[in-house]
Amino acid sequence: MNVPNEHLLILAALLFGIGVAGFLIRRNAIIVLASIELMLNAANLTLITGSRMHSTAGNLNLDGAVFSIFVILVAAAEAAVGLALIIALYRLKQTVDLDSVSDLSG
Amino acid sequence: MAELLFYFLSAAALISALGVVTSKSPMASVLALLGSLVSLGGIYLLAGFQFMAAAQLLVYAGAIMVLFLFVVMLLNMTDIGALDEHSTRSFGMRRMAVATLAAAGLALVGMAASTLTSSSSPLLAKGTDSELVATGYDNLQSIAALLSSRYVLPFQASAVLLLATMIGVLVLAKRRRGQNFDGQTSGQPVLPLQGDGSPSEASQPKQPKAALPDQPASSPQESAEPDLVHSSTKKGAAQSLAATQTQGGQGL
Repeated sequence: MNVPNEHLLILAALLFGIGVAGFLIRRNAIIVLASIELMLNAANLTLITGSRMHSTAGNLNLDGAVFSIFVILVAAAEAAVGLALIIALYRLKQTVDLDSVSDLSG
Repeated sequence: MAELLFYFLSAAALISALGVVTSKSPMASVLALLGSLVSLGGIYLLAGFQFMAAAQLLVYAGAIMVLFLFVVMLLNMTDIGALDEHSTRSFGMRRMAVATLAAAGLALVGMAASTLTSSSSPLLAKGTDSELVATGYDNLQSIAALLSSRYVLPFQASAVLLLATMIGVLVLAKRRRGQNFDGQTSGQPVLPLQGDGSPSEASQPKQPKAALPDQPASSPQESAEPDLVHSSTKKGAAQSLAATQTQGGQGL
């Protein structure tokens, strides 16, 4: 694939922007969590692009790939904890609408 | 050819990401997220990172998506007021079917892309990535060597993180005694002391199954009520036995 790295970075930036927009606009907690997953995926794509950018034919660079493995691991942990929080919230409030969970905002 | 596939997969990832953000139903949103993840896995494969593509498909599109879908189906959010009332059920189902078909098609495209990035492919014989693949660009052995030499401390820390996550999720999502989930278990007895009316089972302080209240906690005030019940169970087995015999009939 002879795609320049800038296109990969642009794709990652667009995905991250869409994730940020969904995180800020949507009020369903599960969709907000899905938007966070989108942002983490964009970060993964950026890390992998960095690894591709810094490796040549003879000199391999896999640091970005290893970091993206850690990002995938953190994303899995975050999804598990976030979904458990959503379950606990639904048990308490019978809704997952984030606007209805503003008790601490005064 | 591979470049065309890359731009096709990028467009699919972007459209799926927009579907995640804009769709009304959480189920359609999660399925659109699945399409975005699978197309990103295909992009990793095209870029020459085979192991990352496999990890993306296994962990993201497999495990995390199963977790999301499980929670969406568990909460049964097509019935509650968290959705808009405009989205009818058939429209959501059609969207879900379209998203699932798109994700399956993208998976097929990703598998087809793996043949393009192999070192023996004549299509990419001149590209730099094919040379990188031929010299072991993303083989599992070098990643494993890197994980066990330079990044051994984050690797160990990630194990601790997974353990802490497991314990935290258990603490968060465990159903406490006297706490109901939602209206689906409304046929259960009211108080934990009234399990099935037998005093031998009710007098024991630890009984996990019979601790389901009757009414679903529709407000925080009502959901605070089973905590009182829960604290009252700790006072004594004799008192709970008396409470079982006095209140055993009215809950059922």
